[in-house]
Amino acid sequence: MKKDIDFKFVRPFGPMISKVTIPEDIINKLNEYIDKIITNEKKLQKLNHGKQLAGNVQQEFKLENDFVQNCGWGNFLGGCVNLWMEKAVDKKITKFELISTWVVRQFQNEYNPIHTHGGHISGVGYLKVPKDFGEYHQKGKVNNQNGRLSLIHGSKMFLSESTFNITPKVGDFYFFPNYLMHTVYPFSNTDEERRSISFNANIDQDIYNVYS
Amino acid sequence: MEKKIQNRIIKKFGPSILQVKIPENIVKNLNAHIDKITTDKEKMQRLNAGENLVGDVTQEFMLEDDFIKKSGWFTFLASCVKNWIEFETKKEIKKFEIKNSWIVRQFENEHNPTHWHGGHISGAGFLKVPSNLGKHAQNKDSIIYRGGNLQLIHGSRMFLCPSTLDLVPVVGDFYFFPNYLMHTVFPFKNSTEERRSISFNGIIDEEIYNVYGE
Repeated sequence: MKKDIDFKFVRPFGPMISKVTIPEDIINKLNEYIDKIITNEKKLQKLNHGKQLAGNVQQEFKLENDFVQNCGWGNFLGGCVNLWMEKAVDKKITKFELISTWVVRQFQNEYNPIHTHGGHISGVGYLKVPKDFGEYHQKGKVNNQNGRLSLIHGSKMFLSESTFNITPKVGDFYFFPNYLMHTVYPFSNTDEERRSISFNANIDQDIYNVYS
Repeated sequence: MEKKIQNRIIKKFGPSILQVKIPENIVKNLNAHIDKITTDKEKMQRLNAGENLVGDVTQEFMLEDDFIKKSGWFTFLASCVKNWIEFETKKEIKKFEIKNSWIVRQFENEHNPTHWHGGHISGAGFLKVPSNLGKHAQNKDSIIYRGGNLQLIHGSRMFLCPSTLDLVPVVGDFYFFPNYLMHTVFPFKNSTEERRSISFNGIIDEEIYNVYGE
C-alpha cells in the first residue's frame, strides 16, 4: 500500500473489552485478605462459591461486601465501568450494582470450561500468576496456551477472529459484557497459584437493553 | 401450551452436525493399526502431526493414505458425507477428497484448546475412551463435569440460542461438522487409560461449499 494513501483499519463489530491495571495498593489488600480467608475454614465454607461456578479448580469463594467497599475494590470497578461505558456508548451510567465478586484459586492441571456470566457487565483480573505455565507434552508445538484466558465470540471466518487469547499478568484486569464466552486453559509443572478475581454487575437497564 | 394448538419449534440457524456410528469392524481395524504404529518409532516420527496441530496431548499422527483406503475408513467417510450434504443442501457431491486423517492420543491432564480445521468438511470420533473420566476438584454435584468432553462452539450465547454443545465421548461415535466450527476438548483425570480420537479434513465440490457465489 502506498504511503500517501490515507487508510485506517475499522473493526467495529463484536463485543467491546476494556483493559485496565488494578492499582497496586488494591492488589496488596486483596491478596492479604484472601491469604487470611483461606486459613479460616469456617469463613471459607460460608463464602464458598464453587457450587455456582463452572470451574474445575481448587477453590472459588466470594468476597464480603464490607471488605469490597472498604478496600477500594468496589469503587475501582464502578469507576472503570463508568469510564468504559462513556467511551463505548457515550452514555453516563447512573447505576452500578455489584451482584457478586469472587476469587478463583487455580493450580496445575485445573481449568475453567467455556462459560458466560450473569448480570450485565463482568470482568476478570489477576492477583497471582505462576512464573512459568509449563511446556506442552510434545516438542515443537507453535502456540502454547497454558494458563491463558481465551475470550470466544462468533465464528471464525476470513478476516474475522472468534477467539482472543490473553496471557495473565498480575494487575491486568479485563472488563467485558456478560454474554462473552470465556475459558481458562490448564497449566503444568508448577506448584504456584494462578489467582484471579471476577465480578458480575448490573448497570442501567436502558443502557444494557440495546433492543428497545 | 394447549394440546389443540398446532405448533412446532423451528431451529434452522447454525451449522449442521451429523452423528454416526463407525462400524465395529472399522473401529477394530483402526485400533489394531494404531497399536502397531505406536510401537514403530521410525513410523511414528514420519507420521508425526504434532507440529501442525494445537493440542497439548501425548501423541498426534497422520494415517497413511493406503491404509485409509484399505481399512474402509475412506468409504465410510465418503458415504456419510455424501448422504449428509445431500440431506442438508439437496445437492449431490461429485468430489470427496480426504486432505488428511489423524489420531489424537490424549491422556490425563492433557487438553485441546479451542480451534477449527482446514478444508471444507471435518469430523472427530472416538476409538478408545477411559472407563472413568474423573470428577470435579471441588464438591459440586450441581455443575456438569466436562472432563474428556468434546465441546462444539458457535456464535454467541443469547436467550433461546445456545452457543456450545457438549459431547461425552463414546467408542464408535463420530461427528461430522463444517471446517469452521470451533471445538475444544477438556482434560480428564484420575485415569491412566487412553482417550483415542480420530479426525479428518475433507474437500468437497467448491460450488457446494462456497455458499456466497462467485
